[in-house]
Amino acid sequence: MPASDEQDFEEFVVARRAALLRTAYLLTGQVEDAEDLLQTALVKVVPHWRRIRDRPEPYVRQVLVRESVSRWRRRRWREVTTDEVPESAARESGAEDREDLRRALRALPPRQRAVVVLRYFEDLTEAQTAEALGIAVGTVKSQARDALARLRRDLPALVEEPSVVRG
Amino acid sequence: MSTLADRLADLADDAPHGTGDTSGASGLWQQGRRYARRRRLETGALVVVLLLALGSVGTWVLPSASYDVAPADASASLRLPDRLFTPSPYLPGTDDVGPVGPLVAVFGAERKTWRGTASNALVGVGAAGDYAFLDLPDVAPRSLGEEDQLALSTDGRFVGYWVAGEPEGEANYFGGDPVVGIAVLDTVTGDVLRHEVPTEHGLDVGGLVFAGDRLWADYGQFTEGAPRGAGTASSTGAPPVLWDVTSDVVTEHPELVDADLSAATHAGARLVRSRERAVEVVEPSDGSAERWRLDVATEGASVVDPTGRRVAVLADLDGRGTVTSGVPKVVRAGVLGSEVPVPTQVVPGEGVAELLGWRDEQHVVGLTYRPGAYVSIDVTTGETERLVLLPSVTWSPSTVVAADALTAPTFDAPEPPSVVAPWVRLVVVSLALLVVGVALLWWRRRARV
Repeated sequence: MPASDEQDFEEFVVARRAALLRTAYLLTGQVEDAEDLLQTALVKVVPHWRRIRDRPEPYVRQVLVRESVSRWRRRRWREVTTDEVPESAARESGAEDREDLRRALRALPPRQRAVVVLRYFEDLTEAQTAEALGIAVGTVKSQARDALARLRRDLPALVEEPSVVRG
Repeated sequence: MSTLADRLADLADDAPHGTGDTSGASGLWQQGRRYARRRRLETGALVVVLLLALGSVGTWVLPSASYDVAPADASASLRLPDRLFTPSPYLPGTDDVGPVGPLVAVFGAERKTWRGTASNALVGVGAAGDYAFLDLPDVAPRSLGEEDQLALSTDGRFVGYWVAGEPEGEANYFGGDPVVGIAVLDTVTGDVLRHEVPTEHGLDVGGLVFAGDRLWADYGQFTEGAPRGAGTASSTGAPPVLWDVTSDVVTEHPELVDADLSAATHAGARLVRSRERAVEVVEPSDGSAERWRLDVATEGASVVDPTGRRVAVLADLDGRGTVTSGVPKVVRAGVLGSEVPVPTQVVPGEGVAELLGWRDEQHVVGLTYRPGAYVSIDVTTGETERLVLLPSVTWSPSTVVAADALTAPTFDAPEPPSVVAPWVRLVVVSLALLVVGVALLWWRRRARV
């Protein structure tokens, strides 16, 4: 690959790393996992860079969410999930809300979590979400419905999401 | 109270903040290059494994696709396979593989269509031990069921058989579809020569036998039509005909009327007819016959060597002149000379069920049962050597061997491929392709993640 490809890639990473880390964090719920997930996704993107260089972000996001789903599948047999929050100092109200959401997200199956992140954080349409995850639009709808139902149960303070019926 | 989008954005603020330097990005680029190389190697290995798996499936399930029948070679020297096998009913035919060249042997076998429908068929064994069903146009059922109604030339090049068809008048179905002529398949060119016989109701076939490359045919004319399953039928006798298949000249031989070719053999180009206490050698050029009286009553076919001097017979011990199938009979051998009757001596040993011909001046070839085999017997000492082990499962007609093969050296014969049913091949190949397709899709999908 010519040197300009590498330069383009580096510029993209520098420019978009922070935003992609935010998505990765929502997908994983852990700082270390988020960094690891993003690094893996970016490494896997390199072989395809020439093809996607004009518009790389959708493909990077696609690799990111699919890797998060498949990674969870590979790991779940050796991970033990827990609802116990690590011991911490007295938490402020905002911090408690974030922790509740983080815990609720982690309690979702990975694909539902990915649908929630793409639809309500990345603001993608159902069709774009389906393409990113490689699933049918109908599956996106059902996964979103189930995920929201579970989040409302776990987070009673959550208000009705206006964008649920969109796209 | 806030929306899910607001709370997700709020939570995302807890994410680590990426550094702004490009050194980490450069490291990622290098890792990505290494990852790409590793993927290419893994993909290559996967393709090799899939191809090997497909190849394994192919060699197991598609032997007919790779079944290579040796090309026809008119000058191919015949060799005698030390064993004949019952072939797969899905073996290809000569319509599929083309001319197979001179045949060592022909015998009956079960043949199945791709839907599994079974029928009687003739399978030919080539000089290299290849097997193929013989696709004989308009072959009459009699030639598919009785070895006397099927002939193989001395050199194995021509296969003679009766042709079924429509007679000029009401058909006579006694013995199956009406016979209207004879035909010869040239195994080298694949051509079929026909000799149609004008007939009102069909031919009452008597026998077919090759002497060299001349085909003797014995038949009569049915005098009236008859439905299928008729118990009896009357026919008039007709002189046997001699068909020189190389010059396509047919001659009638009225001097041999009432000739019985069902137990006829040949000595080179001459026809050998067996009588109860005599043997007759007929010259093909003029139909003249030399007749020798023997000192013993015989049963079945007698054999004379190509020089016309030595004779071997099976002794008719019960003296009733009837053929007793499957029972070993005493072999006697003698020299056709001036002494009358021709003296014959008992060949020591257990005897044979049938005689096929002479292997050389000292050995005669016979058929034994349990196991079914062709054996070579020293006519002086009775020492017996097995030449060919016959198929364990036999169909009619039984094996007809080219005379030249009886004098040829034996070889370790390969078993024909076990061809599975076409529908099984289709299912297995479809499944294999499906598996490969799914594997490749999975691989591509995994590569993207």
